[in-house]
Amino acid sequence: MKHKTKYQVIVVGAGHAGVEASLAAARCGSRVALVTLTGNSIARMSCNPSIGGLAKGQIVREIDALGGVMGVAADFSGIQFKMLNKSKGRAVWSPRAQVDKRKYEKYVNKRILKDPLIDLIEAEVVSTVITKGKISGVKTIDNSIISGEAVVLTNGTFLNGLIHIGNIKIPAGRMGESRSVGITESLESLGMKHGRLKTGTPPRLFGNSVDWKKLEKIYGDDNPAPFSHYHKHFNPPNTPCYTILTNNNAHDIINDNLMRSPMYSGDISGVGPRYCPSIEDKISRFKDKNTHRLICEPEWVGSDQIYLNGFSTSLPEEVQRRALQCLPGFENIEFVRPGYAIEYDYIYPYQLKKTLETKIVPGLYLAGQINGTSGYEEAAIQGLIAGANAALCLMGKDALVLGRPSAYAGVLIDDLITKSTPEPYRMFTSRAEHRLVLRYTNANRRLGVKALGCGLIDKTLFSILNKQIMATDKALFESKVSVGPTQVNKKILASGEAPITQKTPLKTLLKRPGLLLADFMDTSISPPLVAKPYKDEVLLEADTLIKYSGYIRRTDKQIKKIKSKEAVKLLSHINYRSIEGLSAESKEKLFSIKPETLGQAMRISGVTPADVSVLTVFVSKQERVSRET
Amino acid sequence: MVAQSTPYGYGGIGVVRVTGPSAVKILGRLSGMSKNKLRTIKPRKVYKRSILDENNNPFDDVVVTLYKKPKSYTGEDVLEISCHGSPYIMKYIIDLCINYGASPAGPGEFTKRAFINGKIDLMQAESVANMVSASSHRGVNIALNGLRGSLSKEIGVMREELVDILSYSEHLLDVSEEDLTHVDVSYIIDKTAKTQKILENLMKTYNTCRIMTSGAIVVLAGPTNSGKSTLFNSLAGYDRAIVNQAPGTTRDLLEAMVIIEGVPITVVDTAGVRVPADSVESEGIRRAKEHMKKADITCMVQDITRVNMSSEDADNILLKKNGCVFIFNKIDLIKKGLLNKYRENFKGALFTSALNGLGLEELKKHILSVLDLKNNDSESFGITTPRQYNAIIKSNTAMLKVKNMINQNPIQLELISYELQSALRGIEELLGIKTTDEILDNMFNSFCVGK
Repeated sequence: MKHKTKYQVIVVGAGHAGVEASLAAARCGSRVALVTLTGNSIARMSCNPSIGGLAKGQIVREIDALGGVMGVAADFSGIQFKMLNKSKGRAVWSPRAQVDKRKYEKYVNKRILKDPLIDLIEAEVVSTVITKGKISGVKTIDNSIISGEAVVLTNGTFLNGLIHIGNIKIPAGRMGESRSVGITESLESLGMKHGRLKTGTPPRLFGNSVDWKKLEKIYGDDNPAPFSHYHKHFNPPNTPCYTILTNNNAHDIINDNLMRSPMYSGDISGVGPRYCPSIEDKISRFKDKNTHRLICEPEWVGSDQIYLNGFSTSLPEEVQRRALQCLPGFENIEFVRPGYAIEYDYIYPYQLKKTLETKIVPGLYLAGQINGTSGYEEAAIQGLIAGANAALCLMGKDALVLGRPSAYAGVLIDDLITKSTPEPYRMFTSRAEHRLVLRYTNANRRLGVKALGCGLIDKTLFSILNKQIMATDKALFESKVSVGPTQVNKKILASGEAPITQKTPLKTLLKRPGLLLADFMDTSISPPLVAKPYKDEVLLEADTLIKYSGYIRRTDKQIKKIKSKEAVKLLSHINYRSIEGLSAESKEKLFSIKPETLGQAMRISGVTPADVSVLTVFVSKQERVSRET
Repeated sequence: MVAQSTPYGYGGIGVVRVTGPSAVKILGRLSGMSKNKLRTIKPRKVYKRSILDENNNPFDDVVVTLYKKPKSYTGEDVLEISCHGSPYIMKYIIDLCINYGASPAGPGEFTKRAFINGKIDLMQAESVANMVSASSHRGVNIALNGLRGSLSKEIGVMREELVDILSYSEHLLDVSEEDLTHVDVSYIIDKTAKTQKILENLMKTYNTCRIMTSGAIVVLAGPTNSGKSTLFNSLAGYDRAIVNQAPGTTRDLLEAMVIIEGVPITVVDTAGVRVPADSVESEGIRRAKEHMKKADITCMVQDITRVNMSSEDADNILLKKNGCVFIFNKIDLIKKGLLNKYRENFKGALFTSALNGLGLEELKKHILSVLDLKNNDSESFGITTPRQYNAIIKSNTAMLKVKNMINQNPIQLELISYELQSALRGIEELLGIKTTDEILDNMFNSFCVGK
């Protein structure tokens, strides 16, 4: 049997990567088939009920500037908003929201169904179909073929997924959902290499089994910042979460049963993330800490299902329960379902290009957890880039490639294809060497023009981004004005700073960490002409541009230096093994990764500065030869 | 790659070295040994063999030693041929090697190979150059310690400290306030102070170590016919420069190496400064001025019989320029009373008669005291080249900024991290390495990162 319609882009999987891929391809004008096992789990938040967070918040902003759905959906379904890292420095400020999972899913589902270019197909894909070395569609379990010119695989944790709870093993893609078999093998037969990873999730509690009085409430910000750039109003609720501390009794129970965790008994071969350790990991690795903080987060408004953040585990259910019952407030705790670990296949991402297209099969793209990442946001941005590139390529347009200096998305993809992390990859601000210029407040400036050029946003949305940029520039311009002591000393003293004695440019004053542009809004700066939710943000961005100008200039200089290396292309057929002067380790690494540019080669671990100079000489020699012949 | 390791010219023996994967094969071709015979050659053993010419006739009897990788200087297979030291023989053997597939090596390429193959780091490579050019006992000592990696080790330890501080600071940035149980900036403060102190101490070693390994430069300058060349000859200990009564005799720069109390010093004689008589002299004067900029010490040599400056003039020049010494020469030509008057007037100046050696010992002592060399054992190694010095300065500047910013309120941690990174980059440049994922690995392994 054959599906009648011929699609341009087929997206397999409807998680966060899949929906952004479908929507992006459709925005770029492609006819899209979104194929998923079950149509009722679109954009499911399988783990924590929150969007954003450190470095992830910046990614959501980038998704939004590129016209993606994640930011809007999170704003729509958010129940508590908080700006993280406010005490540390504005480039690392990151927005995070607790969201109503059901409302979030519903919102995204509607967007997919409403999109005239997207067909939602419920089917189990078992393999890719290749014709004449190019992708031509996918085959489903009933042997029918869906044809398309490009395929984006976003299978998440479903590829040969295996759930562990103590010594119980359940083949599944997510608790209660069947796994996907065949795709790994089909990719393997194409010559692609794969590995196995592990991730975990904490138990879900029945809310009425918690003695809430004994827990401490935490609220979000009074003055919440939205993820999306495009709102006119933004008045989300501020619903509390609750914290609880673990104690020695609980730790003792976990320690006594450590060997019953499949992570410790050796049942799990997949590599788990070190930065998101399970509770048994935390306790055995950080022995000097006698308490760990857990957070109870409602999964949706009025829900009785509570996500226990910080207690990810694969211990037997009975041990999980006994340990938690030691905590005051959890004496009578009941589980909706226990925490579990899940193992799944991933494809080594060094086999991908910057566009997330596979190097081996033209037209085949991979995005999300299948590339070894973890997190909704990391998955979503990859989906967006892969979907957009699949569509752009079919139309013969320039690819959407974001560099490390222009987006966290660029850092993410470059890291994936260059380093092929051995553990689930989560974004951190530390991964971005140019993090000072990758702020959540300048995603509009960084990505707006590019998004418009690719057709990812229309002129209406672009004009909104542009207004915000212009308002920032206007504030910057106004800050050149000189202010006198009588005008501003009252404000200065109020901020606990030393008063001025003579006329001083406002710009100079603002170099002091304790003074903010916003403080001078009525005296010297006119209010920014943007929608209300963004007024503060525009002033903050202008203030940052003033305060960090020296550092931004230094960063720009470094970026310029690297750009020249990035411009040197390395052809894929270079025989690195024959280049004299390269170390043996570098030869092998370069041979298997086949970097696209000299810049990428530099970032491969094990490739030393000396190797880079050998490569530079080699490339210039080759260029000379090719010019002469 | 093939090169001559001993200097050009005639010698008792000469050494030719070959490095690379074909070294054994080349030995076979040179000596006519079969593959089986080559297998009997043991590494690091000395063999007497004949080198055959193109017609397979014996050409020279030589001693060969084979080093197998990685246990060799370059980390590759190395063949060392000690032949008779005629330039013709050596050239002929090198040409044979090139015929058999070797490529001629440029200067320093063996050491470069050693660096690329990870046998030594950049600073050790520089120590090799220092070792080869060493001209004093302490210079040899400093270079050897550098070569053996004492300096690299000290800097390596510092790099680890920096990585540690940076990991902590990055950790603080990548953990939200909700999960941070406590923020302890004092950790950064203490370690920063410690690291910055090491950098500062390393900076201080530069003067002594540089002079001990590559020598100090003392330039003799001043008006024509003030006796610079005579002074130059008496410092050098032989008649190096042409001396004549006619002003403007010296036109080019002349250099001589002098060792004063074990300190290598290059003395430079320059053309006297006056309105030049011709273009050759004007070029000489330009070079003289150029050289004065590079000098550790500039001796302003004056003819005491023709002094046309006041003590204020002298003071002004001294204020403007570091390491400047006034020398009043030809004191044999004036009366003692007048000389004493000059001594009174120009305090701190030296008075010499280059012709009969008066005041020369004082001059040498003075030179040493101006150079201000440190004499303790802790400085038996240190930084020796401008490249190393600049890298250390870069790191030190960044660390000073960290020290300053860490006490600010509100604390701008990301900027502190930025400076720590640039400090680390300075150190990495110094060692010729890069720190890739160490920071993240540290973060993950030693700190608990949560939500």
